[in-house]
Amino acid sequence: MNYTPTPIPQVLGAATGVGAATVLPETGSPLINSLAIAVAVGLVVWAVMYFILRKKAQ
Amino acid sequence: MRATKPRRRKLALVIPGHNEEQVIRNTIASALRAGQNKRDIFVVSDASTDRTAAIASEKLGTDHVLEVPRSGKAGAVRTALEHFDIIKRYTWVHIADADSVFSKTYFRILKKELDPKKYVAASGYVQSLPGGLISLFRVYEYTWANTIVRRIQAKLGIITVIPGPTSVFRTDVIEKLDFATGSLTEDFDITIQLHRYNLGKIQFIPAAKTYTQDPRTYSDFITQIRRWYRGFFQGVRRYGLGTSFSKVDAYMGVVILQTVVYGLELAVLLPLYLGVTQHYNALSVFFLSEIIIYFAITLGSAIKANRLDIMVAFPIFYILRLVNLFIFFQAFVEVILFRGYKEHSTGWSTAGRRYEITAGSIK
Repeated sequence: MNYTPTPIPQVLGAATGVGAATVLPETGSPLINSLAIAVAVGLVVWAVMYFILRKKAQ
Repeated sequence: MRATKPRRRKLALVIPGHNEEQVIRNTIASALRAGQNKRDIFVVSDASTDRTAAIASEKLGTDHVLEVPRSGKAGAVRTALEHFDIIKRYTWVHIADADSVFSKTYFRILKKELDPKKYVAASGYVQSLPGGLISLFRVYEYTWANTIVRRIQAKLGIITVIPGPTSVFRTDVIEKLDFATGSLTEDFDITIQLHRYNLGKIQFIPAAKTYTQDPRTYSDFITQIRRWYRGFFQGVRRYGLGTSFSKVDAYMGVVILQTVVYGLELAVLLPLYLGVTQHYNALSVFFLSEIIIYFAITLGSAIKANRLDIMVAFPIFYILRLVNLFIFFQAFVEVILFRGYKEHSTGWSTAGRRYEITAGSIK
């Protein structure tokens, strides 16, 4: 009903990401990458679990 | 002695529909419960081949139901306004989708709040009815849009769309509006006409809540947002949005720009940055920041809507949001760059996608 992709959240995220990315790479630590991978894997597992449980409930 | 002019009633409800037998009974019952008088409800059935008109007649009486040959939503509404003499008899007319479910106080609030001295149109708060995965996503989207975006738009006088399920017009402006522009998103088109022709202000009444059905399948979702974004860019093209000096142009310019910037960041700047600097942890920072902010906003929306259950599908929202973005750009290319979708459409985008609403659908 908005007729545009939900404004603001994506720009907030992107701006913060770009801002942080321009500062952090100099001091970039493997911790950041590990954390990002853990979050990405976690989201994938979460999504798969959601679909499995949803199917079971139907 | 001068004859006294009959007093106008405040608010008419017109429900246009095409093959709505699954939902029309519930919609009428919901309107009655929400404080709309039976004699102020009118149904127009556009070439329905099912029991839409019969069910509406059972509930309202045959003199409140009109059957018209295939005209599309805009055409059906126009015919109903003339047939029932709505413009002369009422100060306001509410045009609702046939799948609407109104909150218990919806019409009472509207009748109390509508101010014809200050406004020419109004909209309430739209929320998604429980359905499938897409409905969960839409709870987040609608809550964010109504609670934050529309409030800001209302304050600035730049509401860019009076949504189909909750659109109210002062009857004297109806004649100045072109309902048959052939837009794929007539509610957006009409709202932009209000701004372009300087017809007056739009009132936002968030306490008046209405619920709508959202697609149940992924393919219906894609079809719907394709229509939305193509309709959006039809409006941008037709009214030259973003090219004049006005508040609504400035706002639309910002909305389009922020989406383009985000798309460019994802598709061009980030890969380029990673390629040139080899600072791959920039990708991690970008991703984590996005996820944290998006999670916080989704959680805030879930709390505000009292629908914490939507959080179970959060990772899917993240993907649906990117799908949204992709289709937005696809529509931009189709409509703005290749000048497509100029033809008129008189179809019903809801055909085949309604589902029956059970008692207790609304929390």
